[in-house]
Amino acid sequence: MSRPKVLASNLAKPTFDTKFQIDYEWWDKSGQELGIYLAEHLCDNHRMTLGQTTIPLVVVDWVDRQNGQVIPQTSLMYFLLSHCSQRPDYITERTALVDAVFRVLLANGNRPMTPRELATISGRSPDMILRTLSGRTIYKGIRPVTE
Amino acid sequence: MFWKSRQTQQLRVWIRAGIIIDRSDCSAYSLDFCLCLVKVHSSAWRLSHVTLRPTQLPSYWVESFQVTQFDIDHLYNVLLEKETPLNVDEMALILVRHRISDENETTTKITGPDNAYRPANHYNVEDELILTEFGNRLAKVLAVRDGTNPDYGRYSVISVAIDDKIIEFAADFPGEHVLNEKSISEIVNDASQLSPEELFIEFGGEVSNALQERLAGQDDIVKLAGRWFPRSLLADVTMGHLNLAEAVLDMNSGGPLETRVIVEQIGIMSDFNVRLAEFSLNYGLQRDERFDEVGPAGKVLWFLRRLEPIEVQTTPPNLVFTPIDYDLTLLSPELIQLEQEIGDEHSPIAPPRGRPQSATLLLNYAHRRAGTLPLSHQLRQMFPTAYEAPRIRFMLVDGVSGEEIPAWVVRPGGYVYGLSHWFADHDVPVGGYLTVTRTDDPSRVTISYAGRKPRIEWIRTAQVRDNRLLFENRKLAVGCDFDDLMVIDVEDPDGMDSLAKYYRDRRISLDTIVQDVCRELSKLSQQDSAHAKTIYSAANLLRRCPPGPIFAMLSISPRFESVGGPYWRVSENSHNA
Repeated sequence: MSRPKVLASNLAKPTFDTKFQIDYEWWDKSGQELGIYLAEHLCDNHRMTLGQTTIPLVVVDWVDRQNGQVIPQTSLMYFLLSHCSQRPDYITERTALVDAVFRVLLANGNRPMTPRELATISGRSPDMILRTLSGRTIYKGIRPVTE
Repeated sequence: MFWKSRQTQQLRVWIRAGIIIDRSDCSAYSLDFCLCLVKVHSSAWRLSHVTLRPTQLPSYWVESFQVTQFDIDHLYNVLLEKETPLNVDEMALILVRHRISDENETTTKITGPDNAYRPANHYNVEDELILTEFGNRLAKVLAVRDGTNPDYGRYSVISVAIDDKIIEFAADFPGEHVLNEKSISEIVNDASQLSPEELFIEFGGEVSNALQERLAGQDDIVKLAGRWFPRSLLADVTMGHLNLAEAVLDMNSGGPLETRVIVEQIGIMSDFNVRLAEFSLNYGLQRDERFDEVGPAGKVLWFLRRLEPIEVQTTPPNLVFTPIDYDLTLLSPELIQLEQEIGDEHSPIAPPRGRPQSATLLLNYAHRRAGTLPLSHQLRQMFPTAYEAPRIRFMLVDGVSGEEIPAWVVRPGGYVYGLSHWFADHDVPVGGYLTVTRTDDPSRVTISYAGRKPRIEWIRTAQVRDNRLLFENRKLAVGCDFDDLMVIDVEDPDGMDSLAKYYRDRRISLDTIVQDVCRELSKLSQQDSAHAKTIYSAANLLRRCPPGPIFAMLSISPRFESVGGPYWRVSENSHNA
């Protein structure tokens, strides 16, 4: 995973045009288990399948749907990207806002996105997304980035 | 109903935008069910499709749309190019077209040149390709390997260097990929996409509102009669031009004249676009106190302020009303009903729903004397309105003779002026019924009275004696239907004006006026009482006041006692109260 450059939130106030991205370094430092959180985004079928010890966590090619880039992914991420994120119930009205934004970024290969873009895809209000992500608390590692 | 219609529109847009790919889903189910399908599926579909054309989504226009500085710059350029002031809807359409054109350009950039990287293509080492998704970078293939994911079938993986980093891309890719599908003609000319004009029909309202708000905050843009133009691009209007405009209006009895006529008669700015010349002169005239813009909405007409009737420039004394605080809850439903029947322009009555074709009103003394009509909530919808002009010149048309009567809507004073002669010619009494009817032309309104063959009737007559207001019933010939409770004949209008002035100068309270008229009116009745409507009509001979404060006073003051229904008399103990 590429490491985004983190913008010091106290230096520039994020706007509707600020791009956000998942900062995987934040997960390393936070002591939280990214793998467990990622597994929450799997569909029921894959959650059951990957929960069985007989399926090894192999690394396979994943082709980005936007730019054709080939990125090696663990089987968990691969299933998330290639299958679970394509299901209609991946993001619903019931999905919590932070989870919905995380899922959008995940499904788009963690391509930096503005609150407006995130709102268009997640079906949430851009204002609500911006307010949530621009506060002092970093939710699930989603932070503003510099290009 | 509104919800349904709006959702239906959304559904149509989404379907046309290709968000529901499997249209057979819809055919078997009700529209509402399809809507649910769209709602459930939309997020997932958007992931793969919508990023291509965000402008096709309702959320782009309804939730996310904001007017940017780039938009404003573009509009300025259009205004400069066209040299024509535009209204907000025209600009909104330009903006929608601009956004779509911008998107098309971006799409073209995404689609890229012939050697743009496409996952389906075969590449060899040393081949050059342009990575459109990476800022159109030119890259060279450094290595090729076989793909390792059987889910994709047989494919290759090529390595290229970007910023000293090796990045891999799919090649010989047999599956569907958005970069394979994109082509300019497919994307830009996709017939299933809504055109800018269709998008404007769907979402123009949202764009116009956002634009209006943004333009209002721009210092360098001027709004006149609903049209906007940059101040710095206006043609120069000199004091000489304005003096000539004054002379032209003077020669035409003050106006009203269209700007085009003034420009033609002055013979200026012939080398400018006609609309820009008119707009510039409008701007100059608007900033000069000598001129008054008196046209109805969408039409600019100029009048010389000094030649406007005095009753238009200043509210006639009979119509001046100083608001009085009173408790609205004191009024019984019957009194509220009476207030609605009277239709006073100062009554706090909610405007009727819709826009009726015609309305009937009761003429009170203040308006009869001033030659005006009340601009009540009901009547306000019948007369021409304007974006900004406080005074609007229009034509009343006699419903019987077709005679045209020049008239003015005076919005600040809440009245329509111009009927003195018409009232006198037709002997319309106080309490007479008048009907106002709209025509296809908003600047022409028909007026008629409930005329009939004159017959002798007992009519309440007001007289002034020794600075006192007295009433008696007299036999008079009346040729118009009237409200028996409101009708009052004033024997000497000038004497009544003097008495009203006497009351005003001595600041005689409304309470005293109501008491005086109630006592005098009661003398005409065998029950020694007066109807609330009659008291209202009579009190307005001396002081302009809507029914509310008078009715509240009758209801609460110990000086008055109710004798049943809306009838009142002065309490016998009033002198002790």
